[in-house]
Amino acid sequence: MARKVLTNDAVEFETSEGVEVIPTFDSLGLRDDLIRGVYAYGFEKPSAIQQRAIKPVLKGRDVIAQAQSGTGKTATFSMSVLQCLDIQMRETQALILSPTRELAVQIQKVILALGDYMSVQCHACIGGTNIGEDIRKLDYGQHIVSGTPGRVFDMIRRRHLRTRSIKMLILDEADEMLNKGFKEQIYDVYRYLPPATQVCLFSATLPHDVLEMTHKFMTDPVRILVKRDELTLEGIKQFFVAVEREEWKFDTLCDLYDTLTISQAVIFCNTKRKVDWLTQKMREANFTVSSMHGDMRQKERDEIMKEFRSGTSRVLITTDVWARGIDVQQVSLVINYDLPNNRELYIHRIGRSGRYGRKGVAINFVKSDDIRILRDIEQYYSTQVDEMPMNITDLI
Amino acid sequence: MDKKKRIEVNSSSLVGLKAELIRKQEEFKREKLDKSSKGSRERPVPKKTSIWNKKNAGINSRNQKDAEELEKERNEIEKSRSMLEAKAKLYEQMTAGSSIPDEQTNSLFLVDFEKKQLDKLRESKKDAGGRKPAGQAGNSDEEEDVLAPDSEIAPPSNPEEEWVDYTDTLGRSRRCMKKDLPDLMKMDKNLHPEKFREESLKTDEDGTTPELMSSDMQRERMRKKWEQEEQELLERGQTSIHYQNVRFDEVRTHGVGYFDFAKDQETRDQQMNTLKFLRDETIDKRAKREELKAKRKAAMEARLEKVRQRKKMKAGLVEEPGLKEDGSSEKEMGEAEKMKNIEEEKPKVEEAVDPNWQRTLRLIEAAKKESQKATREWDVGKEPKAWADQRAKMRDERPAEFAPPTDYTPNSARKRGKIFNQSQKLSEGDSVPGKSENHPSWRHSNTREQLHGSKWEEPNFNNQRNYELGHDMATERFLSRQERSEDGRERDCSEQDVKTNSWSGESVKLDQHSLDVKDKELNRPLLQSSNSNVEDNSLGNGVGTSKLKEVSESVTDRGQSLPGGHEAQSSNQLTVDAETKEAVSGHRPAPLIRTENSKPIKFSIGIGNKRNDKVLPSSSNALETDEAEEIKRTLSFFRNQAS
Repeated sequence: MARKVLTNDAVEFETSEGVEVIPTFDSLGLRDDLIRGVYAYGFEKPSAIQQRAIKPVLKGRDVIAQAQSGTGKTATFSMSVLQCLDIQMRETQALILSPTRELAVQIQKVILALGDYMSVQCHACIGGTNIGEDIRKLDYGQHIVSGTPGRVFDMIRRRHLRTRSIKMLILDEADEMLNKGFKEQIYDVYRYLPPATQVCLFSATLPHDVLEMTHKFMTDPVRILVKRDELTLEGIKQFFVAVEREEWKFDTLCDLYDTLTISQAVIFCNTKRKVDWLTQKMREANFTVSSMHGDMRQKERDEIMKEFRSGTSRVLITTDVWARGIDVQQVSLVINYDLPNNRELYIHRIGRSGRYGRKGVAINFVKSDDIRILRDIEQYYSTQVDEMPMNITDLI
Repeated sequence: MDKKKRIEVNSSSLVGLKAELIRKQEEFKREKLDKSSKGSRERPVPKKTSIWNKKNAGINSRNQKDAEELEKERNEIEKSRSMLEAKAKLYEQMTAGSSIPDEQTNSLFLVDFEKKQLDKLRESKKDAGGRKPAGQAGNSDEEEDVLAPDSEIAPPSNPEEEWVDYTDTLGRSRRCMKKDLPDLMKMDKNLHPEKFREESLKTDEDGTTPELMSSDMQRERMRKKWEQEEQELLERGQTSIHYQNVRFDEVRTHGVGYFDFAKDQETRDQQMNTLKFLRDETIDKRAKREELKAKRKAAMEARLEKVRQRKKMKAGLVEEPGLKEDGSSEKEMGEAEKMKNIEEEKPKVEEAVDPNWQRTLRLIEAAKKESQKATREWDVGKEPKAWADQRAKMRDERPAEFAPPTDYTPNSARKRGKIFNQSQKLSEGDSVPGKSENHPSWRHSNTREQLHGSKWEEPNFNNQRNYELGHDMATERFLSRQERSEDGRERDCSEQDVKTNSWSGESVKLDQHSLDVKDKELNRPLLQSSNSNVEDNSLGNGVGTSKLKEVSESVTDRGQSLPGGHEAQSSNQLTVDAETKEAVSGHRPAPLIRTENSKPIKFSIGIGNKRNDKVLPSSSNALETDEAEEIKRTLSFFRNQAS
């Protein structure tokens, strides 16, 4: 076991011993039609997490996998799930739960892309959509269901999502899923699954308390963990802009607008109201921005996501609904208009840029009393957050 | 230096300097003001005139001339203008007059005023009859011409009456009034509804339009598109959804192997099948190539082994060369042909992974055709097996004495005796030429084989390089030849060949000149003779030679007298003759000539009347004289046949 007893009864979790590193996709022994999809999607060589985590998942072990943001965790479990699938059997064999609808849809997309040659059925079972449609799709038979806990539980309870063939439960953004808000719902869903279902947790951040509770639903998991001082990516440069007063943030943002539109940028605020306010203000100042938060209708959220993904809109003002997992390759700049409420969110937010080895820049707007928080984050992750230089454009 | 000076300056003097400077500046300012007010420019003006107003010599006269010319020109223009005005006046008079000019006056002018008047009359009548729709006017080409002089038309009173140009579905550019445009468009639409739809689609999906669109409009357009896609997805309902259905124009770099399948299920399936087909083909070919490579390697090793053995042989160890690699080399040849086909097809298959679907399909068609074409055009209808069987049968029937001479191989004296005994029994009363006449199929397949042979080997035996090549070339030929003889004769044949090869091992050089001579002299008649004769050229050169002997023997058996009494020739000459002949008829590089000493051989051959004496260095291992004579006679026999 990879547990290490420390002096003061605290248990430190470390990466399990004997985790094999498989250097190529070919040596992973994936099925041909899957590997074709993997290469077609743009993966050439497995990333660190893919080299380590896929094999134990394929072996049927419970896995807790942590890796830096944008290093291919979604693809890791997608490949694993697709490999374990029995395509002939048109029943739900794997359930993937994620905290946001956008993420669930994105996972569905990745699975469909990787399984493009496999004729795989994957359904995004998310709230805010037509229930009838959901039921119709599920009744048709879906190999994989990627969804948010609420709607998935609903479908299970209504017996439209049959769980008897489910072999795997994947929790993406596991720390969020096992947080207070979601824990109950996850438990509800878990109760319906066949006993000893293989459970896999994936996240860029796995705080200690989450790791501690995993024994309740996992047996002897293989842990692939990253130390917190290795959690920030070198490719993502972090800066801060010190502002004396809150109002100045807006002016700073306007000054930065030209930089934002070089490729694509995400601006994070802490509240939905603030998102609305900032969006309105930016539009009043004749800047083109789009915004998204959880209070919008799902249809509108979808539209905005499509626009942003297609590059039709370039600047997105949003809340933490966008903080985790969303992968848009062109995002190269993240602005924390407000500093996040916790350390984990900081990692996730800045991880929206610099996807899969690309370069990224994060700019934090800090008031003088925020500086302390930023320094804390800096210290916690052993990273460096400098004052923003004038040549910021060159870094994007 | 400066530093020192600066140090010397004290503050008071600095202040003094400053004051002086200000005073001077003030003074200057005042002066300037004074100047501008007083107009004290008198000083600079003369200077300027001296520079700018100085005239070149003779400029005045030139200017005058120019003025005169201008005047003249103006006069001329004035004159022509007045003439034209007068003309116009006359024209107006002619046309305005309601009376139709009589014929005599009419013939004076180039303009047919008579007709003009008539037209005018007719038109005025028409105008009076029906109302004249202004909008429709632009619709017909005839009227458009009438309208052409724009200046005549009064400027539109309101913007609705402005003229607009448009192109209709037939590609004609039309002009009409703005207010009539919608109606005309509608008319056009009714005329060609399908074309109109196409056009609207084209502008809708055209990649160029978005750039001119505002971002809002573009967004709206995209939204509409996605909505449509969503709708389609809903309509699909329970059928499978694929990545392309949920992509919604996401910008994402995929791998090079990414294939954007169609959103439509049917097309997608079709595409998938084609991809599968291509993939299988690739795998298949890859496997084949690997196999071929392995075989080649094996063959190469066998060859090397052979070379090694030969070296041993030369060193004095008399050993029979191994014949094990016959099979492999035989296969090798077959594989080589296949390989050629693969190489032909390969680029096509690679190209076929093109996203352009139509093209892909076309390429697959082509690939299919190509694979059907695998057998050569000339090989169609051939039964290679039949000939092999036939040959085997004939060889079984053949008296052993007509077999290739065993004395070519130094180590087969014992075998020779045996064969000879056998052959004596068989050969009595049986002659080869007669036999050949009884087997028309032989000749037929013989020629076919010749064709075959000449196809896969380079026919340029003129090239001296072929003669000079050492072992490799010879071995190559040997192997390929061996592949072709598939029966018991292989042994003899190979023995012969090995010998030939060992000759070629020596550095043998043929005189290019003499070769040319030989070509010229030998080529045609011999080619003919060989074609019309029983000689099997496609077999190895050793066999060829032996055949020659067979023939010559048979000739003697029949008691035919050979015309053209040749002088006794050296045996070397004969060998050369026989072999060159074989080479000529077989269209392949001539085999190499044995020489004990590595001196170049000079030879020439006479044909028909032009019988030359051949100059050859005497060789130590000469053939027996009677044998030489036999061959000589055979040759002349061929010549006779040819003529």
